[in-house]
Amino acid sequence: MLSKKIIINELSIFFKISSDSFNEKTIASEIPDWNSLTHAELIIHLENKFNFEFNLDELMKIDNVGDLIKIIQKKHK
Amino acid sequence: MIFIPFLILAINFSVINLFGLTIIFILMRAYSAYLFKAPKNIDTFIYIFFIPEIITGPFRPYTHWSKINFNGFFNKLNLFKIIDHLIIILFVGIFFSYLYSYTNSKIIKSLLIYLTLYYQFRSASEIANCLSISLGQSYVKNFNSPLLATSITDFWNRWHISLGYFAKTHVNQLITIYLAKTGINIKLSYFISVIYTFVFIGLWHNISYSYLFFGFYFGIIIFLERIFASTVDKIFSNFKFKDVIGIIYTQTAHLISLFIVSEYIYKILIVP
Repeated sequence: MLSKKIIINELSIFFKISSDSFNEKTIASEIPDWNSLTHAELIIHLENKFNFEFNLDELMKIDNVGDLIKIIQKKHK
Repeated sequence: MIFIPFLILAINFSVINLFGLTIIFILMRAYSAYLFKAPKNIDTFIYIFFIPEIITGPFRPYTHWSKINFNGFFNKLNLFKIIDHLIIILFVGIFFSYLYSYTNSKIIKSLLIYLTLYYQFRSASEIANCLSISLGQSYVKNFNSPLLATSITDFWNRWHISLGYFAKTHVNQLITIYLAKTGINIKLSYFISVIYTFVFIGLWHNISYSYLFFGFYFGIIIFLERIFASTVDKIFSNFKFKDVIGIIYTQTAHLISLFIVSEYIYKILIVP
């Protein structure tokens, strides 16, 4: 299973900010460049990076970084 | 999921628009309950048909719903706040009709409609929240000073926040991702999805050319803002009155949209 640290590190690389800016409760509006367009780019980036695909239900359940981590970890069990 | 707007528009076509808004809220709540695997019991039924919220919003996702609790209903019911907001709705309506009858200027009329819509809608959402809280629910913020928004994107993050969030996460982002995965350039995917989302929101209010234009108008502005945001930020980074210019630009752009759809909005205001 992918660790929380690896996923947060990937977010930090993608948004080009420190990984300290992310925790499980972080929501998109708290990250300056996290908008609808970059969200779509991020999802595609994560799918390519970790080699899996989000389904529609999973995409709609992402409210914060914690949800994102949970879904990715579930896919990598 | 991305075809749901078509279903919604079909409903809007077939029933009176005011009921259309309510039916759409019921559908959204039913979908949220389905998405988060709500149990098939009376509590889920109450969530889907919770009258205070399906009439005016805010839209509450199922994850923000707690079991209805009548314990301490009268202690939690903030009657003073409800009366306060009812007075605002009535006072704004009276004040609006008085000023409206004294002007022939369409711009001033649109401005009056805009301000009346804002204060009445915000108060209606607050009353729905008061009733929800007294039944054991949490507060759902639906407005965050939209008159102080510094861009149209910022405006839609402050006006009817709960609906905007639903449209963003359940329509806009999904279509962008779906189109981008089919090989379409990501920015073009975003453009198509943002136009689709705003046309859907516009036609949800009323099936008319005015609201079709409303959808294209905001879709294009938001796309341009997203694409040029960093350039504009760089240009105005050291400018002292950056926010003031942002507020003037946003409110002017919004007023232009109300100029187009004011006839419909006039009908839904509470005016004595």
